[in-house]
Amino acid sequence: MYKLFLCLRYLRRRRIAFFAVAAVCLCVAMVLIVVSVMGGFLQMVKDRSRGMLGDLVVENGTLQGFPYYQEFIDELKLAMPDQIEEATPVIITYGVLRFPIDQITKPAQIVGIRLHETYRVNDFKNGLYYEKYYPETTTLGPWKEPAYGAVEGGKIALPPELEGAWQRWWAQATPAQRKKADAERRMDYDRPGYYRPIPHENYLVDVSPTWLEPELPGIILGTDLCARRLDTGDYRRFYWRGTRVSLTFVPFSPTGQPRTATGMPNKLFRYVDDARTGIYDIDSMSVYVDFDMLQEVVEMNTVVDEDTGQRIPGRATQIQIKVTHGTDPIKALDQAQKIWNRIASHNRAEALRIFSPEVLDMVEIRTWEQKQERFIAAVKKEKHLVTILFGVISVVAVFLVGCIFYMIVQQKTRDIGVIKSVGATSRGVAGIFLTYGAAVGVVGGALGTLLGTLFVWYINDIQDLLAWISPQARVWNPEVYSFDVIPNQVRPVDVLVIYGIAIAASMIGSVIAAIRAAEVWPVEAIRYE
Amino acid sequence: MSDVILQASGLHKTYHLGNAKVQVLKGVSLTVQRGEFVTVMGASGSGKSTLLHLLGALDIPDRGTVAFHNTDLFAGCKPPTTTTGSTSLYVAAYPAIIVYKLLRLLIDRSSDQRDYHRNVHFGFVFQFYHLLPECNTLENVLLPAMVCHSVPGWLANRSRVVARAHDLLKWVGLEHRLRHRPNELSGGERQRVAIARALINGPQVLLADEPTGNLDAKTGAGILELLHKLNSQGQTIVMVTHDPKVASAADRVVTLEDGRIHARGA
Ligand SMILES: Nc1ncnc2c1ncn2[C@@H]1O[C@H](COP(=O)(O)OP(=O)(O)O)[C@@H](O)[C@H]1O
Ligand SMILES: [Mg+2]
Repeated sequence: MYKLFLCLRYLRRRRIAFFAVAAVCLCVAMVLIVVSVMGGFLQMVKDRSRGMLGDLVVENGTLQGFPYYQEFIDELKLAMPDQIEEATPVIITYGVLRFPIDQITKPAQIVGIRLHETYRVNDFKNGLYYEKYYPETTTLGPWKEPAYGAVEGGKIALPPELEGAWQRWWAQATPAQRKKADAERRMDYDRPGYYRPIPHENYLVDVSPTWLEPELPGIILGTDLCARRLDTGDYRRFYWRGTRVSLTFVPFSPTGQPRTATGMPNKLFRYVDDARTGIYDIDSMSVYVDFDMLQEVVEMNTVVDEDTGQRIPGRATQIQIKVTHGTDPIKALDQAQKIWNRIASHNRAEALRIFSPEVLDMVEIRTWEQKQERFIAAVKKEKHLVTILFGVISVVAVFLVGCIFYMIVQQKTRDIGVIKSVGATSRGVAGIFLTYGAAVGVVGGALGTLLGTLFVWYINDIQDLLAWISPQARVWNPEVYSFDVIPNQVRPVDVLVIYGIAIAASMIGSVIAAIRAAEVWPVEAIRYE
Repeated sequence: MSDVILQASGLHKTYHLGNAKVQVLKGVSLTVQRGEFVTVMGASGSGKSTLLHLLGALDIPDRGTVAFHNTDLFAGCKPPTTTTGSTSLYVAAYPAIIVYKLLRLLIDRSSDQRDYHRNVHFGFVFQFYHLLPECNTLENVLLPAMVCHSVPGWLANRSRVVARAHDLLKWVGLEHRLRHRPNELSGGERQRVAIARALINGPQVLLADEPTGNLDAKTGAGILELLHKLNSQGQTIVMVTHDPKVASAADRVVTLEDGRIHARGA
């Protein structure tokens, strides 16, 4: 009993113990912040990778792609109806993006997708802006430019299709979503997003909202290509919805020959929406167009040579697959691999007339994790490295606890002698200081957890505050770290582990002092005043 | 017939100061009967405190025995080895030494018996009171009781023990000083707290080391009166003092001189 009593008493009455508590507190907070931010970063990398790709990815790592993707998808859905939720082909190629309205050009990664299949395969839909407020209005098909005008009673409004979509969204939106939308409403037409007015002098009075010709295919732009992120986390968009965008393509033959002889195809699109994956490298470069259209433009579609009657099968550069809920992606991968092998060997003769064997043989099915393996592993390593570094720094706290406790024992030698003279064992006296160490760990760890958790929760606000004081203080550069916010989640497991280690470390720090206390020879300690 | 509580025989104790040897006790024998008030007289530095510490199992003699109700207090004990700072030689082996000491601490139970005797059978009163400055009067008195109880045992017996502490403090005249810390008390009051602390576990022998040595004559007389009252209630007391005036009040006085006891009835 006296152990507990005296250790609590010393904790309260010895001012110097607060230094030990503070040291433990700061170290716990420090390690918790590092582990949380790095762990959050890792989690974000994983989430976004998966959200971008789907569960399984088929690729051969080339720009000209691989054939028989459709045969594979059909066969897959037929053979594994219970395991495969959706599979969709993707073409990824490169080109030049140009906004004719302000004559700005940018390099672009052009991604051909089947929009509605993509919605089902990954999280793409969640990153769309206009699709959120005007559901089912985003399309990669032909589109005209919406323009707002006046309706009866002089009220300004969008074309009825958009207005109807907005009404439908509003009807089912949660209060929080409505609040967010309210903040984004435009002054003149009272709806979120940017639209152009009808090009007419008196559009405010007598011209109804309408759709402007010509009809052009839709394109979804990476958000960072057409908007700037504000400190509030919202985006300021540079172009109104429906703005014309031109793309220049580089077609590749099945053997990877660039088709420069026929000139580089160029095509106009309408900006129907923008997509944010949250990965800066992607959002500042990617544009999304319709798969079939892109396939034709870059000459990856199926063609039959009129003279020879020879069929050149169409190509895709990637297939994204989502497995059903509860299906193990690894098992599904095995089965899918077998199906691909069957299709590949069945068509091998035809394929080898056109493609090099490598193009076929390099086709590989991987889980999203395997595909991002090297990146994820690198982030993991970084996390471990930083954690170890800060852990090593925390050893300082152990020494500090050790020194402070040693000092206390030194000062309290006489009292220790007294406690022993009334019958306390050496073991018991050592126990006082070990309990004391544990108490310092418990208190310091709790405070540190609190401090660290608050810091992590408000880490983005803290950065904004620092950046407000001095712009150079902005440490998290989205262009470097890919993500535009600092991870701000604290995992309970991390807290428990760090807390446990803090208590153990404090006790280790108090061991020498405890032994010292146990060795006090009471007669020596109490002989003099 | 009177039974013997403490029987010391042939106690030797030598201190080493560098190369010089200080032979403090050279074969001290002393018998304490139940209910006795024994006063040990002796000049300052004659070894009175050393003797008292041996009688109370606080120190270990080089030679000789102390029997408490016929059980040897130092059975199986080695005199303490004086480690003289040689540990600094083994800096490299320091972690090993720490682990070794920790293990020995956990395993070694050789002193448990003496610790138990000190806790339950002996009560010490020192010249310099030796109260814990962080604790108030009541807590200081409760300390030996806390030592002998585990946490659950303490919770079970708390009210009984606290009531006893209150009684003792009332008996020594400090019932109005329960929440005072030692530095808020006078010397005499502190010594009364120390006496209450020594009595909390109902010891068989009270060992007082110059209990009045640090007090003025009047306060000292008060303390002595308290001890006599205690003795008249049956408490066995061994007190050491260098002051003949203090000794004159006791019923048995022995003198410690040149490391030996010279008995002299009062
Ligand atoms: N640890 C020690 N080392 C060396 N000498 C000591 C030690 N403790 C006590 N002494 C010496 O032993 C002698 C007796 O001490 P003590 O028992 O305290 O005497 P008293 O209580 O009668 O004054 C003194 O001369 C003292 O200096
Ligand atoms: Mg003395």
